[in-house]
Order: sequence, then structure tokens, then C-alpha cells
Amino acid sequence: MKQKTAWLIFPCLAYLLVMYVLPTAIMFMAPFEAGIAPGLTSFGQALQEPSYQRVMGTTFEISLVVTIGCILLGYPTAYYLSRMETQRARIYLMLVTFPLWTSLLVRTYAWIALLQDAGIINSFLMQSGLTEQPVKLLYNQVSVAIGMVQILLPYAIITMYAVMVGIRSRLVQTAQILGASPSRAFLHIFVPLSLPGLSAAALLVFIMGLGFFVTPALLGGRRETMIGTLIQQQVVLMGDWNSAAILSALLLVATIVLLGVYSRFAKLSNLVSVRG
Amino acid sequence: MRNAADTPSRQRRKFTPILAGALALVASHAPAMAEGSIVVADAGGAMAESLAKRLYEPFEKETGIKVIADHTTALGKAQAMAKSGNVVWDVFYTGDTDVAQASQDGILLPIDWSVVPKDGFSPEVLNEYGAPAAAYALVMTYNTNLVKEPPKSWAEWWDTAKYDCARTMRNVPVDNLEAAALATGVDRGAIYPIDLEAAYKQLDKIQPKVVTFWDSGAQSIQLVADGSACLGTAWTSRVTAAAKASQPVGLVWNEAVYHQDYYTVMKGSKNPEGAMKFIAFAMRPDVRAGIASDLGFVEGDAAIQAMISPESLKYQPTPEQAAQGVNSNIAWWADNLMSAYKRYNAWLTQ
Repeated sequence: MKQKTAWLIFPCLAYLLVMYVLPTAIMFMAPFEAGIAPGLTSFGQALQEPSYQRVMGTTFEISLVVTIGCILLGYPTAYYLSRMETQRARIYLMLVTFPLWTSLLVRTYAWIALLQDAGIINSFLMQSGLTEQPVKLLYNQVSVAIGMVQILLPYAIITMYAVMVGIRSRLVQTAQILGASPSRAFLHIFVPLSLPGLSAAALLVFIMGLGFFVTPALLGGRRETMIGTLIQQQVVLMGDWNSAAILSALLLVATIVLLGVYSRFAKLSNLVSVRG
Repeated sequence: MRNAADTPSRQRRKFTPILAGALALVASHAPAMAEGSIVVADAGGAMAESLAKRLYEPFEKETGIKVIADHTTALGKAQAMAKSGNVVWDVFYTGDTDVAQASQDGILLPIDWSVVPKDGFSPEVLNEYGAPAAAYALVMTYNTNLVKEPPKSWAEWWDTAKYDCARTMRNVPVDNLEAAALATGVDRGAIYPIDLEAAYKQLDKIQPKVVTFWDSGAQSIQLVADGSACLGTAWTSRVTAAAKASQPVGLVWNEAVYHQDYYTVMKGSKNPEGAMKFIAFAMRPDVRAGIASDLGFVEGDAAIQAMISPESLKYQPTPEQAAQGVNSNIAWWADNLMSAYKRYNAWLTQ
């Protein structure tokens, strides 16, 4: 903190303060405008509202499923890329980030075209005789998870790659020279060293997933209503800023609690460190 | 914006003369600028294109008042503007339930009926704070390839024995409660106040058949057009656009739930006179007929219907069909909007 260059972050801090912290604070104060007690009551009521509880539960559940999906798909990919020579890895990493250049809406609608009853996947399944009836792939948790994993996967891969690329292959080789089988060397040397990247990726994906609203609205059914969809509805359709503020506050508090829990188990700095 | 000004006082002192100078400059130019332009909030997309051609451009040409369109009309945004004191919009084009809410919130100016003509409109569509724009309806839709004999009533739309296929309906209570009430057999003239117990019981019956609850107009058409649902609901303007684009979506005029859009003027508008002139221009029959031709809005007035292009006229309801509809009751919705949304969301997510 005694660095002479500390002033360099002031513009950024000032920006965040004016454009993020203050508006957030003002928004959270909205339910309190009529007095502290009514404000607290409205927060209390929101916590007891069964539909809010369910939507909150759905939001966390879908985020968790998406996080697991991103790790399962992203970890091997990041491992493969991290063992590649740097020049080639750069090209592959570009390809990983490629989907981020396409609009989220376009990608979501593309999934509708792929997953619907008369879509490509179901046509293939039925023509090849694997199924007689179209498999229900759309408007359920599966389609929401698929759509969200596709959007969040690049973030998971890049975060894990950043940590894995700093793990020297020689460490694993040394273990093998000392008699460990390849799988044992991987499990006991590489995996523990890559855990900071894995947990950082998981947390990043999970928190980003909590705020999704377009994808679940388009790919989900009624049970996949996520908190973002509800907040958007409250502001745009109902003009109910108080309820929207309360739900946003609940989401933010839940996220902060989660970061707190995470920091107890892993260093929070893992989120930003390049080397584990 | 208020917070941006709360910078440390040292800085403020230094900037005060400059700021005062700038303000004086803005103030001296403000009246001239304000007289010369208005900001209109519309819904964007095809609607914005039609309004630009039929309304904004001819109005500019005739009056010299420049129209700046903002394609993000939303009640939440209007409320935020009113609250922050920085009202950017002059004309806020929006739906009937929003007008009810916004006039309750006190963020609209009453329409100046000495400038805006009100003859030709039935008293039930006139509103102190809104001049009637287009009308549309929420109707039953069907996939024309899958359904040969479309339902004639909501009761038939609900009949899963006759139509054993997926449905889609909107993810908000508005219109769904009316449809459910009509499906229970309540007389068209007697659905308000809506019997919520009976309506939700009716919704429970169809819920397992609903493939998904649509969120946007585009989705309402896509779900029926691609066969994900054989029967659905949609706004008439959307079905017209889809039918013109040869999509396999048809509509049923019976028991349609009619809505009215309005031109309103924001309280705090920098050019209310210009806004009223604009709305008066928008009431002209030729302008209305042009917009209705483009967008498939419903025009009940015979004089205006006569000016609608022939290929668009077939998408207008005949007087007999129009007589089969129900008018959405804004007053009921204004009183019940919040509780209705809460209950509907609870029902939807259970």
C-alpha cells in the first residue's frame, strides 16, 4: 500500500464509487424511504414470500449445475491447452474466446433451433431410429444449463488455464521418475496445484450465473424463472422499484456471503492471481 | 446526476465560475432548442420504422419541430426519470396498464384537449392523461399446419381432449386471467372483477400442457410457428406481421382481449406544447390508417378503416368479430396489478 504508484488506481476507484457504489446504495435505500421499520418489514416479507424463496432456490440450483458443467468440460480443455507450446495455445485460446464475440441473444436463439422438437438434434435422433418420439430438450433445466454453460465456459477455461500454465510439467515428471504412475502423479501433483484455478473458475462462473436473465427466460420453462428475470419484470413491467431493490439486495448479499465462505476455504486472491 | 455534483468542495469552488458560465450558456439556448425538438419514447423495431415514416417525418416537415426517437419505452424508465428529475422524454408511448400506473404515480401531464382532437373516440378509450394511439388485442393463435379447425372460444382453447397438444401463454397475469375467466364460462360482460379462485383453478388445468410461458412478442410467434405449441396466445400486431411473412400462424378474433396504447406527455417535459402538437398530428386519420396498415393495429373507426391498404385490411377484425371481444379493464388492473403479479409468479414457479 506504500507504493508510490498507488494514485494510479484513484480514477478507477472514483469511477466505481460514483457509478457503482453510490447508485447501489441509493437503490438499497429505496425500500427504507418510508422509514426504517417498513423497510425492514419489506425485506422480511420478501424473505418469507414463497415465490421469492423458490426463485432464489432455482437461481442457485441452476448456477450450481452450470458451474459443475463448466468445470467438467473446462478442466480437461484447460489442461490440454496448458500442456501445449505457447504459440499454438494462443491460437486455441483465441478459438475459446471466439463465442464471446457473438451476441448472447443470437447464441440463445441458436440453441432453440438446435434443441426444439423439430430441431436438428431431435431430427437426427428420430431419423437414426434412436428414439421414436422427440426427446424433450427445450424449456426445461437441461436447456437452460446447456445454454448457460456455452456462454460461461470460456471464462472457466481461461481462468483455469491461467493457473495451470504456471504448473511446471517437470514436477509431474519428477513424480513419475520417483515411481508414481502417470495417473497418480497427475492426481497428487497436478490436481492439487491446479485447485486454486479450479475454485476461482467455479466461483466466477457461479456468480456470473446468478445474474442471468435472458437465457433462462428464452430457454427455460416456468420452473426455470431466475431472479434476474423477476427483477427485470418488476422494473420494466410493473415499475415496482422497491421489490426489485429488495430482490437485488438479496442477490448481492447472497453473493457476498458466498465470497465470504469461499475466502474461508481458499485465498480470495486466487481469483485474480495468474500463478497458483 | 445529483451525486456526480457532490464532489469535494475545493474542486467545486474552482469549477463554480466555469459551471455558472456553462449553465448560463445552456439556459440562454434552452428555449430555442426546446421549441425545436421533442423526444418520443417508442417500442423500437418494426413499430419505430412505421412511426418514423408515417408520423415523425411528416410532422417534422409540417411543423419544423424535430422528433428524436428513443426506442426504449418502459414504465420503469419513465419512473426513474421522474424520480431523478431529469426528464428526457416529452412523449411517452405506452400501454393502458402503464398509463393507469403512471397517472397514479403522478408522472404524467394531462392531455391538452384544446390542442388534441378527441372527437371520434368512444369515451371508454379516452383518458385524462393519454390520447388513444393504436389498439390491439391478445388473441388465441394456432399453428395453421397442425390445427385445421381452430378453437372458437377460450373454453375450446382449454379443451385438451379436442386439442391434445402443447400450449403457450404469456408469463404475466394480464390477459391470462381474462382468458381463464372466459374459459370457465363467465359471460363476456361480467368478467370484472375477475373471480381469481376460479381463474387460477382454470389455469391449473392447462398448466401441464403449457410448453413454456412466453416472455416477448417474438417468442409468442416462434413457439407456435415452429410447432413447439399448436395453440398459443399473441398480440394481434405480431400475428399480422407473422402472417404477412408467411409464417404458419393464424389467429381467432373470438373473445379477443382488447387493449389501447396511448400517447402521454411526461410531467417535467421540456417542450409540452410541442408534445401536444405532436399528439394532435398523430390523431389524424391518414396517419392512423398508415400506422395501422403497417403494423396491423386495430382501428374501429370506419373512416380510418376505409383508408387502410387492402392487403392489410384483411388482418382487421370485421365489426362482427370486433363485437365478440372484451375490453381489458384498466381500472381493475390498476388496483390489482401488484397483487396479481405476485400471485401469478407464485403460481408460475410452484
